Amino acid sequence: MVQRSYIVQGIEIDLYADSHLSALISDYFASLYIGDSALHVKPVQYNLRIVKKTPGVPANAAKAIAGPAVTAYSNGREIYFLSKHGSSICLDPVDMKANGFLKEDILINPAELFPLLGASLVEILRYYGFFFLHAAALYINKVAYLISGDGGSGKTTATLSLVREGSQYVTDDSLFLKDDRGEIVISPLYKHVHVDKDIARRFPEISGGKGLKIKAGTKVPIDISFFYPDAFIPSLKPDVIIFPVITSAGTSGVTPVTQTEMYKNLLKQTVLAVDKHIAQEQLRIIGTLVRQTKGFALLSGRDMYEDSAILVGLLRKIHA
Amino acid sequence: MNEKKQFVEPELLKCEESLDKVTLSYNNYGDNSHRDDRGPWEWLWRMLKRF
Repeated sequence: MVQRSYIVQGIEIDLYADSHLSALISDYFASLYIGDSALHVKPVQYNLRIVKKTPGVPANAAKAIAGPAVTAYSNGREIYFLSKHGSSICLDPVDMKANGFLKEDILINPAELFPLLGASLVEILRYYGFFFLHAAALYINKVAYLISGDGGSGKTTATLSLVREGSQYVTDDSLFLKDDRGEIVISPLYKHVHVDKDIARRFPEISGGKGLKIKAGTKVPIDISFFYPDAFIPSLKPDVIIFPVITSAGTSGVTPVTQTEMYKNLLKQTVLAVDKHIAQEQLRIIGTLVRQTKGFALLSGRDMYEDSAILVGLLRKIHA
Repeated sequence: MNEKKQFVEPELLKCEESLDKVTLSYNNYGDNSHRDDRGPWEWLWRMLKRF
């Protein structure tokens, strides 16, 4: 077994893994944002090993959440995460320990390993008060924006468009909400921006003009701070939430949305905790976020696709 | 933009209260396998449709 330590959101993660597994898992933990300060809390311990036969989940465990890649089960205080091919991680959120039994073929299939690691890590971070939300976060003209929507709704495009126009950014895709003395602040999940083939073509500056080889249907992490120094900021307190919708209309526009619509839209971009009391806290955090922000639907038309500066104009219009 | 909102929609309060109660009462959050990992679950969809 090899031991390595990482910091995620200021929390120490101690990883014990079989040597041939350690390098692959290191890639995953190294891609995560470390946090802006160390938290003096109980470290999380991951013990991961490759086994021929995985133990699965106990017979009396209750299925809690069935996702496309990982299913979560509840068994007393333990939470089990089971991948499609039978690898599992058992989380004890009292001891802050995660024991994983992984099948050998997971070594050549990170697409199965990373969702399993991610699901268990996102779950355990909730016990430290960090709640995942699928959203981009930017700071422009002294206003902090979240852009929250499904995959393909234009979060990364909006982030790069706004950074190109002088905005600062926290993340283009995934973040954590945290209650800071009654106000919600956010921090990024990943260090880098995740870019697909189309976005790489539209924003050639992020590859230094060299061109990136990206397979169709995949994304690669890009450190854009090299090309936009000082654009990254580690956290912000959101003022406005934008919900983008791509339309075939020629002209883009923004319209206000109600608090109830904001709440519903935000719930669609998170995953509730397996533990019900933690899930209640998560709902409260989302409610607090709605109260501290204003919400707008962004109808992204063809004009915005062709001219990234249009988005900046629309955001200004919100505050006019 | 830093001031807190004074007004909270009555419908939001009703929605929050209902979800808070139902979160504790459900034993199984439901099957989410047809959706993206990040979406809510069947029971939550049903609840949200009422608002």
